[in-house]
Amino acid sequence: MMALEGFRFRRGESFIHRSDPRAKFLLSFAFMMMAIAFVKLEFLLLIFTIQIAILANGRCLKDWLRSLKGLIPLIILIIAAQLLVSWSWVSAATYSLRFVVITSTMSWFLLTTSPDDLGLSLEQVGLPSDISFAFTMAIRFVPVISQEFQSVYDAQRSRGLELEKGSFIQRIRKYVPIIVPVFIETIRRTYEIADAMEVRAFGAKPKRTRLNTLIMRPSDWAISLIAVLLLVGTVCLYLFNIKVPLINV
Amino acid sequence: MVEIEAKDVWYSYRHGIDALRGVSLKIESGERVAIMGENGAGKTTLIKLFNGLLKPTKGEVLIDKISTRNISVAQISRKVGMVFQKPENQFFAETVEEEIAFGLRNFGFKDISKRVDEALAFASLERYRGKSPFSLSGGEKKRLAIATVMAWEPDALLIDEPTIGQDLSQKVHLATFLRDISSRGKTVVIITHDVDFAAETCERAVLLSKGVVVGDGKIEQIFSNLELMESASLLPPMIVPLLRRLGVKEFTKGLLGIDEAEKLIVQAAKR
Amino acid sequence: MLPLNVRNLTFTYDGNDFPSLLDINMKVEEGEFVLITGPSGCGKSTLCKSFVGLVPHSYPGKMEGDVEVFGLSVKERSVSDIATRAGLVFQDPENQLFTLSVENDVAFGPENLALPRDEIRKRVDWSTCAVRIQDLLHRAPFELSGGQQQRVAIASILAMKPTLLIFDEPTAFLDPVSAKSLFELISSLKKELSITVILVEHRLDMVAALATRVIVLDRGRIVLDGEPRKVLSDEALKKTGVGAPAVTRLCMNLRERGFELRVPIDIEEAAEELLKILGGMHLG
Repeated sequence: MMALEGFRFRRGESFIHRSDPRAKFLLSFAFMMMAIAFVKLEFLLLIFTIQIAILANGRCLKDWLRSLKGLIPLIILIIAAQLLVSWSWVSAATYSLRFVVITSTMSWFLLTTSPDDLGLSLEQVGLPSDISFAFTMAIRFVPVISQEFQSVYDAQRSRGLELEKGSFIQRIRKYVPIIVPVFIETIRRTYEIADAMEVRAFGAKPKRTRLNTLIMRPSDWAISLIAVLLLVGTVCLYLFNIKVPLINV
Repeated sequence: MVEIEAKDVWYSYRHGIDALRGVSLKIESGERVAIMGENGAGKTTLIKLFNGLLKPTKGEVLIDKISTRNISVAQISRKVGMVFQKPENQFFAETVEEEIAFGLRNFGFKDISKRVDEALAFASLERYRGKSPFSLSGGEKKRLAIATVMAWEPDALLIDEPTIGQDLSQKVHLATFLRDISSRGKTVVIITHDVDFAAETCERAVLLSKGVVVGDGKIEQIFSNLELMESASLLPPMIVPLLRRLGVKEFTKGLLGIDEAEKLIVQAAKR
Repeated sequence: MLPLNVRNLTFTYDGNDFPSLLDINMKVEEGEFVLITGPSGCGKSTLCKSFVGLVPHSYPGKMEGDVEVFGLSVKERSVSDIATRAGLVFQDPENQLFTLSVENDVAFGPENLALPRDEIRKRVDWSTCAVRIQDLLHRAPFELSGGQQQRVAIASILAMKPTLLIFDEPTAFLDPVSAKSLFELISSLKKELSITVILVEHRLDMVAALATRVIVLDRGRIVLDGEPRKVLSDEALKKTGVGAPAVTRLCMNLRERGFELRVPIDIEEAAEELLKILGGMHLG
């Protein structure tokens, strides 16, 4: 659960917060592609440093670190696997860093982009408003559902349910009293939400207007341009196997 | 018989918010206590500490003089049963009797069938034995939730907001129900906003405000102290400000309800 | 045109054997403040839903009779059509707020109506001011207290500019002080905006004095309908399991004993009447 904290939006006024989600997405995607394509320690360190700078600008270093804590088991697994396969610490460091860089691209994007803006950007990119709205609402209700799991778990513990005890099969069965009530409550909740939406005329007109729309500022265009160049560059270098020092040599 | 004690308890949630700041109180066997205060004052946190779901950040919670840090939630729940605010949030079984049997099975009882029968009778839910818990009305679900806990006969019952969504006749039913339980020697602790219900059911009131105990004593003394009630964002029973306007200074528990007030007025009018 | 005209309404949910509403007839005039109350399960929520068309459009069932909102038939028109005339605020604020900022939630309704951006802006500013939450515009709903959340819900409904506002137990999840504050808000909104209000509530002691009319529902039928003092002092009320305010019941009991007093609906009136009986003398 703690790992998920590193992907949950936190409000802020920083440059990265105010940047357009579409630009941010392109950049984040570019970083991810570069980390996948070029497995070289120095290069990855460079991207890693840039991402730290982005996170620092957004003041979300703490949240990101928390997510890293949750990912430590996986990181150790990767290091161990690499050591077994290649007997090289450099290799282990490289692959584990690559994992961190890739998850961090998702992390800084989600930490600095409000789900409302995410939904809005999907809509402005052309997705039907129903779908983008469903997407935003799902994100908005995730903390509510997770709180519900906690409440139900508490209630069942107070009825003597002990998840830690018993055989594997017994333990799996013990999740039923937790999952069923949450499931039923969620379905019930959707009826109430649907009512509230209808009463605000959802579906009245085929196309909704928006109070706040996303406008690309010059800095957003700049970021998008850089991202596209990076992506094109990555694809070229990768496809044509061009070797460039620092990046893939 | 069970004794619940909080000793200088502090509790902070992860984000650094102090929910409870140095709360100390002791609840003896057989008491009927109402814990009250505005939303966010720390009431739910306190009872979760009482049944071990939460452990204090500082200080101790003692159940029969044993710290809750040293016993499991299951062990505590066996003695101190808790009924949550939204009972429908914990129903999952196909039938009402299965629902009641769940707790009994968890605690390892052998005479499950007998206890289920007794619980159904106590809550007047026999005709729903084989029905789905989801088919019950709001009031019946509340009774079922209490019955599932009473089935394993804990020594104390902690109930979070028993009267939300209940109408007057359901509340009267519930108040009688709780007084019945108390007369069997059980401790009853309720969190409630409903001052009239608290006056009907309890003899002691503990007021929490912003994580601190601001009042603890006989319910008639607490409820007739209008300044204290206001400081805890509570409204006293309607009768209280009325009687105060008419000059009443000392309140007995009876004066929190209309029957006594009526007698008092009739007597005074005769003079 | 009447804000609300319910004629011979009988409604049975699909799958139920018995109707939830039976032969409901009620007319609400402009400017009224109608309090609807009744024991659990009496049909209050179903009735509220029928006022805006959720029943029968979202909740299939057999509907006889009709509900007209400002002349529009709820059966024939869509919920969206009715939404600009009658607004409904529900019990649970959590399930009425869908976005991560108050501003977006309040704008949601006008956005659905595809209004031009400046109009949406105007409405958002106006309605948040009307419920006094203008400083909360950029906060996330989950950060707010229950009372504040309900205000956001009210603002988002007001932004649709309805002239009939219906509240279905809006304070169910609030503490008494927040509840009182919300009732005061509803009362002042009614005066400031000249709208008609229908409020469904259990907590009669707090609202009896605000209403111009009280309707009591029991098992799907209207059993009492009239002026608050008359209804709350009616013998039939006890049978339904609805509790009149404590001070009302006190004075009713004293009347039965032969004392002459008018029936009060709040503490002030009660104190006045009782002081008269006591000949100005004090108790205790």
